[in-house]
Amino acid sequence: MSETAKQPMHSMDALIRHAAESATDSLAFDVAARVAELAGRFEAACADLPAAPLALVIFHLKLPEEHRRIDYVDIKADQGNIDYVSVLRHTFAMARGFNPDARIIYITGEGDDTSFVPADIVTVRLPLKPQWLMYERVVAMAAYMQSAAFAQNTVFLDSDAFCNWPLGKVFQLSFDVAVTFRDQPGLMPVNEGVIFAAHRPNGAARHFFTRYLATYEALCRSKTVADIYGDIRRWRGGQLALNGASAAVGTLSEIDQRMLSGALVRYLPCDDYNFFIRDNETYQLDVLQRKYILHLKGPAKGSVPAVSRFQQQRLQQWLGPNGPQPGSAAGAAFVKPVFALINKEYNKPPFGTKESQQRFGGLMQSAMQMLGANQPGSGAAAVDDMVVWFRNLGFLQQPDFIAAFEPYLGDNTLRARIWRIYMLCWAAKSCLGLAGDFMDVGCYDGKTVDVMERYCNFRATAGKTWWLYDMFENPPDEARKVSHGPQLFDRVRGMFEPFGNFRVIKGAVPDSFAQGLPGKVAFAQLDLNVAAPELAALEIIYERMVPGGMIVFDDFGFRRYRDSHDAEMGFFRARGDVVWESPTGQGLFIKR
Amino acid sequence: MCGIAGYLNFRDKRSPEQIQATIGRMNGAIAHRGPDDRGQWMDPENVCHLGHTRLSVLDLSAAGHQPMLSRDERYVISFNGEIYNFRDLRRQLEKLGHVFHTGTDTEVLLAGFAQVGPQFFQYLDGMFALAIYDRQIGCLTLARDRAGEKPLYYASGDHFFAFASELRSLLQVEELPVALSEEALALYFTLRYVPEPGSILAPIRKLEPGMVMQVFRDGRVRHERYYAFNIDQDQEVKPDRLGDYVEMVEAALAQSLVNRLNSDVPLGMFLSSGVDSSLACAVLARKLGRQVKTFSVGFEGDPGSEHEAARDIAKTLGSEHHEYIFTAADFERICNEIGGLLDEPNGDRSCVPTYLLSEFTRRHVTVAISGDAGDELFGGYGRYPAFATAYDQNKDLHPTAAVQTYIERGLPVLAADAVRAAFPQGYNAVQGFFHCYAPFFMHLGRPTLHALRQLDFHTYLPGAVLAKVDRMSMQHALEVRTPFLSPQMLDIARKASAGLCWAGQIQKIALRQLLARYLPQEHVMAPKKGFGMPPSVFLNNRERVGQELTAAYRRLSETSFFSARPNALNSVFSAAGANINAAWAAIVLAKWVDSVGRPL
Repeated sequence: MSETAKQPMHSMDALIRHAAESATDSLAFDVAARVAELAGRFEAACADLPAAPLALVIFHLKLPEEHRRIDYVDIKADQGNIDYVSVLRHTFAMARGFNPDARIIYITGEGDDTSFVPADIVTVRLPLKPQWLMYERVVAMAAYMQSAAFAQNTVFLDSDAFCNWPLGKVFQLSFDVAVTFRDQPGLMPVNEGVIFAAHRPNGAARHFFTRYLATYEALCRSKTVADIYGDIRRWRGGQLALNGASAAVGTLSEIDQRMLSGALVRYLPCDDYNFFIRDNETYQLDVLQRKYILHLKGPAKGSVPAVSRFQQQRLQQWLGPNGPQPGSAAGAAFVKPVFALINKEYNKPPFGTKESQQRFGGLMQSAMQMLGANQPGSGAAAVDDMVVWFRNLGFLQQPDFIAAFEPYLGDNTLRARIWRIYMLCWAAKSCLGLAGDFMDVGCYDGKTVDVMERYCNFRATAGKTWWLYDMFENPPDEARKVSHGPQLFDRVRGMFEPFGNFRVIKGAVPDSFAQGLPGKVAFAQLDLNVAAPELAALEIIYERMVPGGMIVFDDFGFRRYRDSHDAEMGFFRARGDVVWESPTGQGLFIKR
Repeated sequence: MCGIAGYLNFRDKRSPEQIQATIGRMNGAIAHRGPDDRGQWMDPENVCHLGHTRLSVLDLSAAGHQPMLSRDERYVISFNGEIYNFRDLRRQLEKLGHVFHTGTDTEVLLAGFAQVGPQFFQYLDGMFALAIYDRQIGCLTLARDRAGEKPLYYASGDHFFAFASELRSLLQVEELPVALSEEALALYFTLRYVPEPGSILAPIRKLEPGMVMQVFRDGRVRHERYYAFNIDQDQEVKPDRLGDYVEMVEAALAQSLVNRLNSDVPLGMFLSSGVDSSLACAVLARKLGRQVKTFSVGFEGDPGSEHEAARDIAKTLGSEHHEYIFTAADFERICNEIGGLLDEPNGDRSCVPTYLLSEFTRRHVTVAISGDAGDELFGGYGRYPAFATAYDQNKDLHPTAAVQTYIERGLPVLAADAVRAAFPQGYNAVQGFFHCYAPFFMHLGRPTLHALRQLDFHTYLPGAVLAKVDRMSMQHALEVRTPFLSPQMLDIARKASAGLCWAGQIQKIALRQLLARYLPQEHVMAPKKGFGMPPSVFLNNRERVGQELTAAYRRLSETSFFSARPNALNSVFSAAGANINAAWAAIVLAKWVDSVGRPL
């Protein structure tokens, strides 16, 4: 116990405890009214934008000359020495580079220069007081969170916090709000430069940001704080209020979660999620590559060129084999279908040979060119082994569907089946209000269910379970696909089971039903590619279907699976039911 | 080593006499933890009442009687454990003006807490669970050591808060209604133990290791962590510095052992043939030049028994070696009693040999040093390489699924589907467990081994290993000390790169390198064995297991919990028939239920 070494920490510890004890949810009416007014600015700016899976919100205000110096007891700096335009350019470039599908929002003052801001960044100008820089930032955050613009997972980033990895992954962890912490004596443990806010149906993250602002207000009135810092609206208050609001007392750990103002708050280590780059320190490249975000501290803002060089290389690496594929466009407004000869029928006459496939491909290309097929606005599509024209193709522009399909914009196999996938989404969503669970029999790699789940927001649906069945490895030859293998079961479980209302069952259908089967079924997809087990599964599922429930047969209309078609037709005919054979090749049955 | 108990009376609902009688019964339930002395303290304001049972290890005089008041009588403490660096802390506190009147660590805890408050716990090298009541502000502070060596249960009701070293002590609180917890059962059949903060009986909870809890007399509660086993890859020591690292480990282990030798009663060491206990014995005997008494157990007729290798090691190190070969009949005896020996169900089968080893060792010494925690800290479990390799190649796996897969593959009891079918309302706790530890698997570019070490340090170590060692040794009033868990050793362990833990087929590279200084290669490179079981043990007899399961089914079906949920019992037992881990967990649960002595 070295008292001298520990003394500053104890002082900081006492200050953080004071802030935590001052935390409150109660926001003064005039402040709440101002937040509501500013929220409208965000809604106006984002109203017509396509849905996005992630938002990155970056805040910067130009400081008037008389306010550029920071002179607090524990920090003295001259903000005027920093070339913020260069810093922000790099911030925007990395935010976009590593998160190509994200909505990036730049919050700034009404009169501030925005000529350097790229066109794909949403700029929101707010009437803010630059002399109260940090306070105004928290007001702006609270306003964004209260607005309808908070419609996706969101990361708040300092203007000098550079994305170094796609940030969507962080939201795999369970939290409403995640803050980043460091363990350095004398520093406030939680840093305000990076905050993760999860968009969930309960909207709990919103409550936390109200708490954040209300705590800031309370600390502005604290004599203890004023004796140390003076006016904290300019500086220090944002960080102190966040430490107080997030109850950052004691030793923080990534396994700790606290329920604060109805929001589940997690703590993530700065070393991984908000890594500080300091001047006069050298960093190993392999160390920097492991960080989600690189954050310049203090005078290190002069290091932008060096960091920029490293990150541009890093971005190119990431854009390599593991990066987003063509078709993954920022702010996509249209899912571009793909015409591909991936049906196994192309291996049979009249196609059979490479030459015949090339000849057919050439003919299709000519037709597609003439029709402008698969281009936005053409009304024509070549997809799912068919060509259509003179159509609206509205689903390809439907924001909800685009957002649901977003992770697979680079997946040509899925884009070649986009109509089938949309039909599944429609059917699943139509059945959401019925009593009964969902089933996917022959789920393979789970991607189709993933799109449906996103479209329905099934994870947030109470009282329903989605049951996924597949052999995952060693399927019959007729059903074998490239991803079948020993890892597939774990991969699919990992995609869904964390949500809590999914069950993934491995084994041959219908025997695997013994491991678990819903009592009532509202929606099912059958895609086994083999007639006998599909019919056996149908017999069990049919009895459990609720009125209005739907079954989609993936193979029903495909010539290759004629035996499945005939067996299922016989099944339904015997019961006086009918199946609709869709142009997509699917069959649709609605239980009466 | 001791037992502690206490009661906060929020609204003056009960008379001092009533509460003191309760404390007396709570002390009685943990008498086996401290046979040398008992004490009770009553707050004149009738808010706080504390109890204590004492096993005298340091300052055997009456001066060490607890609960103990500070000189100014502001603070009162009930403390279970040992603080190994208390003499150093005492010197520092004396410089600040504190005056001490006993030779106990308890008095140092009181002074340190008075000086800096709950921050004092981060300076302690020790194993402890303690309660300190501040009479001036009416605040009870509970704290538990970093890794969870010593247990601490608590529960609260409308007008009270109560705590104790063991679950059964809390059952003496009349106004505490308890019931089997569906969430805890779901976790038990997933993990083979009930992890903190829950317990098998709702609403009783366990304080997590490395945590401080404060309960104010107005009912407010505050939780705060003071320690987590964080592994920062940026600070790790790379394999090219193996030599330096081995020196660091040796110095820290030697210091930790020196600190843990403080005792006014006879002291010995557990010795299996494994790396960790062998290394602790070797450093003590050879580097520190101490005379050592070593204790081993072996299984009669088991070709995998470690006792012969342990005997060789003892001979090489020149220790006074004692070994006990136990039989299937010993095993049977303890199996029959296991329900009553376990404070809370623990499905780890090595509880039985640990009990027998403690029983045997206590005939000779009062304190024993063990090699526990070496596997978690230095990556020694055989289950690590396969999972780490698979996960390193499949980082697409959701981090929550990574936790689940590791548990299901590495420590299998019942599969998730069976648990969910049996305990549908409790399964959310299992998912909560997976979600809680998922961040360990989110670190970019970090070897999965680090995540597994952290996960096991925070869950399996306190929940299964240390709980087993504490409860089984305390049945015989044997104090077990763990040199691998000193703060310095923890700090060194968290800096071990994956390459210092594991390369090729060899695990615990750094520890083996150090052990090679003291023992021949055949012992250094011997594969990990753990406590095996001789073929004659009934668990290897399918017919006998079937009989035990039938009895367990019958006993559990009589509980109100399971009689209301026949499907739960059927799901568990249909899976248990084919899975020895699940079968043992079910048998232990039934025997434990039988021993509780009240309807559940």
